[in-house]
Amino acid sequence: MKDHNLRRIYIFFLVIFAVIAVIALAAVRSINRAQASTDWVNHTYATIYELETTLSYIFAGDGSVRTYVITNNARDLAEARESFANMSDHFQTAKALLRDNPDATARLLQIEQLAVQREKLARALLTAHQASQPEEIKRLLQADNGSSELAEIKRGLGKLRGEQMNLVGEQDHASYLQMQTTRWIVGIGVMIDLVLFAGVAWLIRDDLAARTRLQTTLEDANSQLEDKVSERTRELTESNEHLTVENLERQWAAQSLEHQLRYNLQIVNSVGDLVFVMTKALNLTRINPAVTHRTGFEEKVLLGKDLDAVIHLTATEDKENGRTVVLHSLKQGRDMYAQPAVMRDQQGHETPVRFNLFPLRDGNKVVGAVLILPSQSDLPRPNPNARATLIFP
Amino acid sequence: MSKTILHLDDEADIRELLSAFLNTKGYRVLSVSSPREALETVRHESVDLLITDLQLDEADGLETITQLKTIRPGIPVIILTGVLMMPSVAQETLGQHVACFLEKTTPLASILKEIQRVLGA
Repeated sequence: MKDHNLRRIYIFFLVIFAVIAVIALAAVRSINRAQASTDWVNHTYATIYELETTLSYIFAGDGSVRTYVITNNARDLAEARESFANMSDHFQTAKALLRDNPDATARLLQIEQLAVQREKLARALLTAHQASQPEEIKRLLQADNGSSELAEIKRGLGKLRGEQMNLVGEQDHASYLQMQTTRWIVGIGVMIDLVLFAGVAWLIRDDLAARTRLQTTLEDANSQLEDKVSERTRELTESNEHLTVENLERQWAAQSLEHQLRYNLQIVNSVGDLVFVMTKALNLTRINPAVTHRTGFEEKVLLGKDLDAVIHLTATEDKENGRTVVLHSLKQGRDMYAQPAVMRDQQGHETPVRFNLFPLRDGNKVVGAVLILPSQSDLPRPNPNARATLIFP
Repeated sequence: MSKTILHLDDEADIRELLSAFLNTKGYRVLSVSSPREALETVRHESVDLLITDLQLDEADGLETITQLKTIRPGIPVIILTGVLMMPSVAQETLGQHVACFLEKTTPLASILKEIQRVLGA
């Protein structure tokens, strides 16, 4: 994968994780706030309930006392006592719930004082009733009719209640805003992450496509290379086979040449006639074993020496100089038969002989000569038109 | 299936060279150095062609050919010899016994051509 693509993908994932972290943080804060809001709302509603209940009990107690004074019913008395007892309890509960609000607590205490006054009035009425003092009862009730304590209590508790309800309303609104904010954060975060994931997917797809193209290119190149290698291998194999065959042909030619040379040597060496090979200047280059056997001269002694060292060319029958005649014949490339000469051996003994001379040719050039002394030197002159033939049965 | 050639020659160099060359051309070559080995080989192997020298250590090449043909009557024979002969004389004297007469100076390619002609390849 290309380096810059890889870096981009890393960066994308970092941003994705950052967005996820922000979403998670926002969600956790929202949950915590929702929990706190719920607790606060429950607390506030409990406060409102206590305030309403307190007011109810104040009115219930006050009403029960007046009813008892009129009806003298023990149930009313019990109800009045219970109501005032409950009123006190609820006042304590309300104070506990509002302890974090000093202003509300102070006002509640004032309302409690007024409530206590009502309770005192109720006790006074009960006492007067129990003492059968209707004038006292009448006086107390007349005095109470002009008092605004109940209205003040009702107004105070109502105000406190209203404040709590307002707070609940404000809290609801704040919760709504917070929820909306959280929704937006999560929604936007998810959208951003989706876009980033799409970006990552695109980068990966792009890189995979590049790798596929590269793979295809490499496979094509590899295939071409394999084809070339196969072709070259085939060529080398053919060349190698060709060279092998050439080499075998050369070896075969060499062995056949060596074979033939050996055969020719054997043929010459087995001949009973004396064979002298020499240059055009009549210097000896080769003799066969028959020469050594007849004259005693080893080949190494005669090589390079003039023919005259062993064969003296005497005058011909036409009285011409023998050597001159031989040189002339060689120059013209003519064979000579039964020419006279004298052979010397190693002991110096001389023997008259007759020789045959054949020019040695290389192509069309005479490069030397072969002088042959038949094993019987007085053999008749051969037919110059005949050709020597080697036949093996 | 490749053809089997029995090569009889008492010179090791000749046997090695001809065997190596014919192997490259897809032939199976059985090389022997004596007529006795050649007779044994023909008895146990399916030989399609005999190439033999004339001058052998243990026996004469023509005698060996005669003995081999008693075991394998239809076997074609090529003489490959180092002895120089007149072609007309060689054909006249040997033509009844052999399919082809070649000198050892003949190039390998020409020898191969004759082998292919004799074997019908």
